[in-house]
Amino acid sequence: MTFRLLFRSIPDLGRPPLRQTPLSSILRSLRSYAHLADNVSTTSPGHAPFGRNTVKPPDSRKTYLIDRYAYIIRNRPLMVFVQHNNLLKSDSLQIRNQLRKIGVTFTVLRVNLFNVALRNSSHPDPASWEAQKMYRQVSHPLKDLLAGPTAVISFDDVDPQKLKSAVEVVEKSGGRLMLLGAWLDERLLDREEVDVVKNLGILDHVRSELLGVLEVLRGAGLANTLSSASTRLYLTLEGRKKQLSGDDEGESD
Amino acid sequence: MMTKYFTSAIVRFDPLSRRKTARIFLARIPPTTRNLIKIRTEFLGRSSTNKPLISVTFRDGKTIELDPCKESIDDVIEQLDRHSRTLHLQEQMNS
Repeated sequence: MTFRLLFRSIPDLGRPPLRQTPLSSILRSLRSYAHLADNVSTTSPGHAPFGRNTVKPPDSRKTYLIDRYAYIIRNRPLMVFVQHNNLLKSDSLQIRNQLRKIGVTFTVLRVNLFNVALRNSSHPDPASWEAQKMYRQVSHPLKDLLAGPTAVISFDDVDPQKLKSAVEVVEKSGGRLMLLGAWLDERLLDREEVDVVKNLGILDHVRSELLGVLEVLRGAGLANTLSSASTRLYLTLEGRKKQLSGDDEGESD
Repeated sequence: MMTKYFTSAIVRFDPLSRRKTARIFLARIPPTTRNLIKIRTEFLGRSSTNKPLISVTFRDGKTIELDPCKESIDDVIEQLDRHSRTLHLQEQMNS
């Protein structure tokens, strides 16, 4: 049971620590995890660590990557897919720095493992045999996008401003990066749609604009329009009530 | 792929199509030739009517045009290398 709990809490480590939590306590908790993991491997050599039944060994890089990709897929509302054409070390560093300044993450993918993570991401443990059996036949809409050298730019929140600057970095890379498409709200966006989304306003601005429009319209019958449905329902029911009571009176007579 | 004799290339493709030939072709061009080969990439979307294309111009002025939707990456490389080898041979004979 402890091991299962331990496993569940591992994806949380990827998140930025809460501001209130002092660093020392996080370090201490990390150390205790490591301590527990040591105990697992020494006391029960026959069992897989954390009780996971994974396709590849639980401590292998493939399992680690599938877990990491599944974390990205589940927690990032907007992912932009780009092809990277033979980045030199210096190019790679430069691009990563530029994207970090914007506040987004650049991850070079192993596409086959990303495909597995996509396919199995609705399963609690995407790297397990069970998930593999369950979703082997499923084809994800993003599958066609993922071939060859692909990287993903993942966003913590849907912010058109950030998207715009990230797309700018991609466009200015001079053929090093090529924008392929994006994944937003469980939907695949092509390049044209990405252009539309990046030019949208921030959600709060749009909301305040809508509020402004409603304020202007308030005097001109908007309240009437909104309440008309309920008023009509009330009148209908009232009419029916009168009709029924009329019938009762008729029977009693 | 021998890219030594390329001077420019035009690649036109739809990123969402199933055939990956054009994307892999772009990835095969080494980064050291970035200043030597002029590459123009055009993207096709749902609204565009142009056909996908790989067009490579060689040092002797010959242009080879291929359709990335019909040919695999191996076929494309084979056809381009055939001309590159001819140029290589000529260069060796002249020197």
